[in-house]
Amino acid sequence: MASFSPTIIHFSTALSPPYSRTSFTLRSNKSLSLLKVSTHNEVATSDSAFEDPRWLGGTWDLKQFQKTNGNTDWDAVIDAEVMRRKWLRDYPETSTNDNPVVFNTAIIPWWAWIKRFHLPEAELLNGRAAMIGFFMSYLVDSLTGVGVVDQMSNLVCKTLLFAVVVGILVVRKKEDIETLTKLWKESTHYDEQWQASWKDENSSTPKTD
Amino acid sequence: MNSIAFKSFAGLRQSSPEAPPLAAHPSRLARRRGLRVVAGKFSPKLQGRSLRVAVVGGGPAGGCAAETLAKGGVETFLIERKMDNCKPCGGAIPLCMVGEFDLPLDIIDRRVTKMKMISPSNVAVDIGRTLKPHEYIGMVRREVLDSYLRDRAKQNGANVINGLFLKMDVPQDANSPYVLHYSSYDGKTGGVGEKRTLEVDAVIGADGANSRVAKSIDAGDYDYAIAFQERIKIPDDKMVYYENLAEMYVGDDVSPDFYGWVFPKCDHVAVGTGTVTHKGDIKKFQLATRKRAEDKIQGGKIIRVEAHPIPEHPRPRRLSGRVALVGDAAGYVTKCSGEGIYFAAKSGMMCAEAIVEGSENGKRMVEEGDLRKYLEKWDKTYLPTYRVLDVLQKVFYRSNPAREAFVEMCADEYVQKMTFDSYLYKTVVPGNPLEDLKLAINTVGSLMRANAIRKEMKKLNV
Repeated sequence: MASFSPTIIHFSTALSPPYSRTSFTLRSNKSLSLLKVSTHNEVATSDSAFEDPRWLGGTWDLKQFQKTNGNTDWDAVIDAEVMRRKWLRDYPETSTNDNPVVFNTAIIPWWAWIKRFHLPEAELLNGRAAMIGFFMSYLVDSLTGVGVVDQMSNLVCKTLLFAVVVGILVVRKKEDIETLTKLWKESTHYDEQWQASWKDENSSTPKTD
Repeated sequence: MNSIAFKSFAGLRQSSPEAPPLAAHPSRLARRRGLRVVAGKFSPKLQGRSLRVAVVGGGPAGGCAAETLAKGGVETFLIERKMDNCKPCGGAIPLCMVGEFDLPLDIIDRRVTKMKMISPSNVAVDIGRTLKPHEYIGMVRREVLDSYLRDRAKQNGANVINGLFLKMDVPQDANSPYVLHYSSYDGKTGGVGEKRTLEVDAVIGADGANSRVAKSIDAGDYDYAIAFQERIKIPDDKMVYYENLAEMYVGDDVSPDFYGWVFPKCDHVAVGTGTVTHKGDIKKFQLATRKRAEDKIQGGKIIRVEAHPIPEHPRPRRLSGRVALVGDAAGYVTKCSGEGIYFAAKSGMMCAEAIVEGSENGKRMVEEGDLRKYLEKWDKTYLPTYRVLDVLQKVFYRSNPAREAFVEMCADEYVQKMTFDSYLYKTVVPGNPLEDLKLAINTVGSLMRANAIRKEMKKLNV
């Protein structure tokens, strides 16, 4: 049973001369010798850890977020958590067992999330859709003479409307098209890598499964 | 299931070893479409000797392959470069490996029964509540496991050669041997070994991520992650915390596409991290991992630094002629968890079993079709597992909000039970559909909440 001697063993000494490795290892050999052997960190730190009077026992103390009428101000809780995550992203801290973080975003009720994040965007999109819809129906009426009520009972119009609604749900911004194609490629990529073994260049029928 | 066609039946039914390769070619092309042949059974019987197979590489894959071959009556040569190789490795083996490979329990240094997942904002979740008393993740020292498997192969009749594989001469026809060139270190204490050759009928490439066998058969390359690990000896009172607990840290600071870990070993801990896309920043990630675990490893001393490549997906070609790749050489490391030991050992065993079966216990020559059976069986058994882990990695290691959602989901008991069941027993269990639906809804909810918070964070930056 090999036990570790209390000296620093560089990775390079484990290699025997005739065995050549990939270039990555050669790079790391040089930089390993510069690695400081200490447990004090060399990452960015601020002078103090994250502190907030409302952060108690590893979670947000909801009693301190109460509004005048006694209900909890969920928006303020969300704001506080945003600040905390931003702080930790910029100044990562050690995770301790003495003050474990047990906060779970699920304690904020679903309607608070909807009210804050979904409703404004929904209002915006619906407003834009209504404006465009009104203008388009005016245009169609002036071009074809079909009134609004008759347009709604026409199959072509209904199909177009459906396609537009689905399209907007899926593609909110121009970048979404790229994102979707990338996602599709990503989801099939791994499978392709596995099936590569079955695509022998001599074989005319690859594996089908 | 598949429509791979093998060499034509007519070309192989020869009682004498001289197969006419040129005559076989036109009929081979004509028969390629959809003809599935059990070719091995009609290979020529070997006169006066057993089938010879070389296993290049003596890790878990090589050791298990050599043992299975030797037990099956095949003349086996196991070529290993460094007999006491202390490999940089997490060293975690699932419960099923102990049973399937008859491992003695003293090989296992520690039994991990609890895990802690720590999110980017340090939300810590304990998982392992659902484990039954006899279930655990075994932590082993690679040098102990590897040498045990090699010794067992030797006991079963394999010839263990201490040597470094250099290159291989590929034969031109179906019955000529492969000629392996290697440097033998037997009886030498150091320096360059003696060049020797070895003639075998089939080769199993089990020589790891930088496989030379793979290069000899033009197997192609794979994307790989760098795993960087420091072994740290921490004070005894801090070691008590890691008695049977392993930790996983996720976050952009720790790794952009993988995780940082603290795994307990025999008398120290291994602190490490890995990445595929930002290999140059691995030192930064390691510092961040140490920072996150600082409280628990304070006062520790680094006793060893190590790094190794981890394949991300299989090589384009895992099989060519009578040469098959197994283990890391083939690229059988799962995504998401980066687990490779079990799959290496199992693939070695499966490949060896296919060779033993195709050669009827070493009495007949094998051929590519027999080895392809191993690939079929492997893909059929484990592709679902690999796919599921790939999806998990793509969804949950994508960004900090995704990781926050991941840790939130891990607090759920159903998730813990499913995760551990599939990890410990290596089967994708279907589970309760109602619970699955609840889980899906909760996952979507977590992801949406975390992403909403990140959007707010972006607003603060402006």
